Amino acid sequence: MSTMTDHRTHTTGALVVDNVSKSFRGDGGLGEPVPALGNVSLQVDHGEFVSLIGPSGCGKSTLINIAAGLVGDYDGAVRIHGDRVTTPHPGIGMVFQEESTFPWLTTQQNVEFGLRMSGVSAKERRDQARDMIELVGLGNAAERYPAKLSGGMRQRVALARALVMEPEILLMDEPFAALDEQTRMVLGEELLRIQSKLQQTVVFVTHNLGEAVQLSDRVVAMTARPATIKAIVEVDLPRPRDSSIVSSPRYGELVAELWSLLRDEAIAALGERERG
Amino acid sequence: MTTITNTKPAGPVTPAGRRDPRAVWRRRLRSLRGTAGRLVIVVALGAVLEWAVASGRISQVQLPRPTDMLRALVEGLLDGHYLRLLGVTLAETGVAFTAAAVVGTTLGYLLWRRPILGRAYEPALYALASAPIVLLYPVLLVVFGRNPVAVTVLGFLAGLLPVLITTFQAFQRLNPTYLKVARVMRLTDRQAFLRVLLPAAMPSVVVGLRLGLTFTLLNVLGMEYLAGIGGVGSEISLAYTRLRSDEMYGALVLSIALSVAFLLLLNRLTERVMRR
Ligand SMILES: Nc1ncnc2c1ncn2[C@@H]1O[C@H](COP(=O)(O)OP(=O)(O)OP(=O)(O)O)[C@@H](O)[C@H]1O
Ligand SMILES: [Mg+2]
Repeated sequence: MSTMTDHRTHTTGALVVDNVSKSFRGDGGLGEPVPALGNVSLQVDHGEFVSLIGPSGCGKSTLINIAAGLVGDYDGAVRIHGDRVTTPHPGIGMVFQEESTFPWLTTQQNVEFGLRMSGVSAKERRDQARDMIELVGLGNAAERYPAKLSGGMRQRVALARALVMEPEILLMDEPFAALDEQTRMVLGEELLRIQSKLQQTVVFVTHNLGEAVQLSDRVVAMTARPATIKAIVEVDLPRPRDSSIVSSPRYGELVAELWSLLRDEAIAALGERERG
Repeated sequence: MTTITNTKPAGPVTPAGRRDPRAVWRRRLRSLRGTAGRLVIVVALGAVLEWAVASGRISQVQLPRPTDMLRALVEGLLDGHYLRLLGVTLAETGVAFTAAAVVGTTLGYLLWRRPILGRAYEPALYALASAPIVLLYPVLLVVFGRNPVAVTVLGFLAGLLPVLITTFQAFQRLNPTYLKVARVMRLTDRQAFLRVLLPAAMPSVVVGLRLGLTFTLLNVLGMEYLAGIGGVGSEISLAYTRLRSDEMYGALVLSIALSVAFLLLLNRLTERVMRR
């Protein structure tokens, strides 16, 4: 059976989430605190691809933002190399769901941006960015501005901009959510190819159960708010994978298993929203 | 040699269009034709007026013959009188606007950075922005005397508010994801401001600058006229009191030329900023 409650005992994960909780205060800090995360513990190993799934509003983004160092004020500890994260760690890269490419820069300049800011020489960063742009399949759009690219292409730019910094850990918060199904499948496939080539650790938030199964080594299913870990599902599909695995029976079983885990939580989350 | 397949028709801003020399020429020709067309309309209108005045249908005092107007304009330009007037108005406007642009963008940014200030002063700013600043002119005359400094100060005050308010709003409406990107990439405050905040806010700020320049120029000319000091505006009131309608219209044409020149300059600037 692939479902199990996770209490791994490794101590050398790339990213260690240790008993993390977080509440938000509504109404400009005056209202009742709203718990978003409740005692989440998780360990992500080097080179591992872990997806987070859970009902809308349960706290997935909150968790990934804490890991990114964008939310400094929380209980428990997220550790990278043993250090508690309160500001962005140099070893992380992040890709967002929303539009994040800079419209005033071309594809090439967008991808060079981080290198430029950290003082990499012009020639070096041009070459590195070029290679990365090729890798994400935008070779013929290097000189275009984002306004002239499709949504899928812009998301590739955002991916390349994060990857070119060679982050140890890549945090992705629903990066493909705004894309159509075909583009999403193709980009997922490319992400896997790049990730296995660069040996990155990836934490990936998604609403799409199929996508979670297609990409991940493990899928973490979370409960309705405040999010806790309900179960962790090991995805025992062989690698390297391509999008043809969606037709394998095991893929279908895993998606069904995730759905049975999430069904009650999704209903609970919906009910809560209707009550207000 | 088009390598990029463009789905949009090759407009003037597509990268393909910019590189193809034939497209550039076609575009120039088209804009030349447009200019010629406009010129024809102006000349035809002039001819109609000339006929109306010459045949006595319009009184010479209300409207001089366009040819007389032109003669006054050319004479004024040739004997250096108009150039001196233009110089004074330009200097007043230039100094006033530059100061308004620098102070306005800086204050707008600071109001955004310090939300407490922003919230405290925002309503007052909107109220001030709709006040008729030009009515301050007697105060400025008393404080600075009857000289171009008073005019410049009024122009500065008039231009300041629109620049300040639009800058403040531009920063308020920044895409928060850009700020997250800047933080995850660990940019310094300076880098984040110069490389992310400023370019992101620029398109809206430029709109504010355009407004500011219009307000400055209007108020400079208005005060010159009302107080009879400085350049082109004072010349209009002088010609008016002397009932020299040819000179009055000559100076009017001059002031219109001035604002058109500024507008074209700003359009250029806007185009450069918006080139995306
Ligand atoms: N800055 C904040 N201030 C107040 N409440 C917040 C803040 N950020 C998130 N929340 C609340 O915390 C809860 C969890 O939000 P979060 O964005 O982490 O959910 P999510 O799982 O990412 O949802 P989705 O799947 O819709 O993206 C929500 O109820 C949200 O309203
Ligand atoms: Mg989210």
